[in-house]
Amino acid sequence: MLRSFTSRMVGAAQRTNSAVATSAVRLFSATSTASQVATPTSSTASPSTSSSSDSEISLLRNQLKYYAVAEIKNRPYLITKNDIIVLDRLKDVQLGDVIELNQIKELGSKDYAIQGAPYVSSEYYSIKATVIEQPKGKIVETFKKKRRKHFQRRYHIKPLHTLLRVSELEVKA
Amino acid sequence: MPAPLHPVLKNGVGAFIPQCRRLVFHYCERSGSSRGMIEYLKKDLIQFAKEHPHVEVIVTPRPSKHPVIRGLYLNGKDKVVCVRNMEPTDIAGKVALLKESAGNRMKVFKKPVISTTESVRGIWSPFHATPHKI
Repeated sequence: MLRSFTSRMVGAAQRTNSAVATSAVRLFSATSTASQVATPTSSTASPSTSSSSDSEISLLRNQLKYYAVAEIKNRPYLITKNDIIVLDRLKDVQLGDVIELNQIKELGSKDYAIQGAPYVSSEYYSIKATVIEQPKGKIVETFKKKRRKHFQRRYHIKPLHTLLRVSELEVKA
Repeated sequence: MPAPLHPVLKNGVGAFIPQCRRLVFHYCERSGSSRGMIEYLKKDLIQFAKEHPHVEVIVTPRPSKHPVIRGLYLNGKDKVVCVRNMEPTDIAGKVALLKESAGNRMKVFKKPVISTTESVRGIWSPFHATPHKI
């Protein structure tokens, strides 16, 4: 389903950073962005049959900057290109590995977004992330106390992380 | 005098450069705390050095001191780990820890995504939101 963000720029007021452009409110029916559940190892391509889905993606493609809401290990991460994703340590991954993300819940730009149900079809994007570091975090202390009951505990953990750099985030038409 | 320009490095976007540059292994030939270290140097270190050709591996005796592994990174910082009385498998774990780090201080990661790009949809402004009708 394509969603548009309404009237963000309507009006004469100037924003400090970006130029004003009026965008008409346009809503599209949720017909054909047939999204399939993408498994981590293989992505099934869904044929885009109707023409309205092509025009949706080309609307998105005409914009300049994109974001995506990627689902990694059942957690959402809102990412743009060049971002660093901080994950819990992935065991089966080495430094320099390139991971293709194919569980994308939302793919959007300034004025439009495609929401997957549950995921966006993988023929619309190409998103890759490189493993750049697998550090140890700082000690985190959890302190529990029940007052007047002579109960207190201190738990210390040093979390292990994997850092991914989003090396590619492209929208394909 | 204007400040010097520093390049904005985004490791991983175009090319990925591993950050660990050098690993220095210090051991003592006589003391007991270096026993596991000496065994690791004999058994596992050569295999590690072959698998990671970008890391310069230096082995130096340091008499009458505990065994130590010192990792040097591309940002000039170093991390030092004392491996006294450790078994070779534990030492291999410490070596992997040093190899996978990037020389930064250990810190708490508060947010799931670290980003320097501007927001794609812009910052909300009450003057540009959906107008309400009275």
